[in-house]
Amino acid sequence: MQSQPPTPSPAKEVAPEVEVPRSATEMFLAFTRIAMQSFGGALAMLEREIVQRRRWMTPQDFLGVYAISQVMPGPTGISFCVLLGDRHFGLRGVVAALAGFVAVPAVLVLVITAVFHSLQGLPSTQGALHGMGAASVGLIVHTAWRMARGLKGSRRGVAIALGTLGVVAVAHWPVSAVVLTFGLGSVLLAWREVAVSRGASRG
Amino acid sequence: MVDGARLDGEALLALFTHFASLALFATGGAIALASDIHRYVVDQHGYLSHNDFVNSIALAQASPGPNLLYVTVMGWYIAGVPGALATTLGLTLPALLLPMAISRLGRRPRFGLWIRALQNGLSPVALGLMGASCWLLLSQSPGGWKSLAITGVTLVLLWRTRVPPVLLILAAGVLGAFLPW
Repeated sequence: MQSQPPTPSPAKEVAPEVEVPRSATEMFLAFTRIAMQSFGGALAMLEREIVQRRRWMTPQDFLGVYAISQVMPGPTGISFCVLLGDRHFGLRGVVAALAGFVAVPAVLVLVITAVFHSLQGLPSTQGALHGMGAASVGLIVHTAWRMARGLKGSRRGVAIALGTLGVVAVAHWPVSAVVLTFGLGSVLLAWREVAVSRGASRG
Repeated sequence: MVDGARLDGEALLALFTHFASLALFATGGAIALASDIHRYVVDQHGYLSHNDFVNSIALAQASPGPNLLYVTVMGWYIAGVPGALATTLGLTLPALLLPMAISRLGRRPRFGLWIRALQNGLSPVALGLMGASCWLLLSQSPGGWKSLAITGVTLVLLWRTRVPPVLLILAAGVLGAFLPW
């Protein structure tokens, strides 16, 4: 996608190549656009709209905020909406971003669901849903596989991931129990690694 | 409307609370929570059949929007619009609080290290949860080998080509409509 030429906007004390959203309405429209073009994950569209098209963030800024959104409790896209919305318009910005990102597509998906539900009597409707469901599973497995590459063969990572998979899939542990055991242990181990590598780079 | 499934206020509140407690662990993407949600709405409470559970995921993946919208569809299947509000708000509202606080705290020196440790520590857990969701969906495919074949072909196409995922889902829907299940 080509990026728009920078329009003269009242840039405050920010870097010259960055622009500032003019209103909460503009923020709402940007996030609606992102949601409406997102199928199977919003990261690609977020980057395209916020960094390339609207230039509200530099690529570095975007990566940093996105990483923080990923570790925040809660869905990544929600955290991102909160961080960017709050930065520019406070609570109003948060509400505008979330309305565009969640509320508008939620209404749309319910309309689609209701249409399918009203056609439930037709055998081909359930067949279509079976087919779509099977393809969705393919999408989900593919995402899991791409996420697995992020472990980069770390022994701790592989062990924790396999352990979590085992206790949830086989022993049916609830997520809360997993986070208190594997989650807590893993974060403490990671903290040690981070602290050690920092110490090493200093010495 | 949704057949017979009407929850009273207390059950709706319990539904909201359960999703709110899960929200804090949705770091790895909302789909990673699917196996835990299945445990609650299908196995424990019988609010949904496994079939409707899978249908919800399929419909949400075929519509634009963030992945978490599959809980909106599930909520609707369970208890109509109030159900959709309970699950969707449950998964999103608690997620607002911490980022708001962080956004205002600004950047402290040791803060970056903790963020790194959190990220490095939680990502394998998120991956394991994701794997468990895959396991659940693969082991209980409603159509047996036909579903598994469609899943397999989808995976190969995702690996080998650059076809947009939504086209794959729509094509599988058309194919499914003509298959004898």
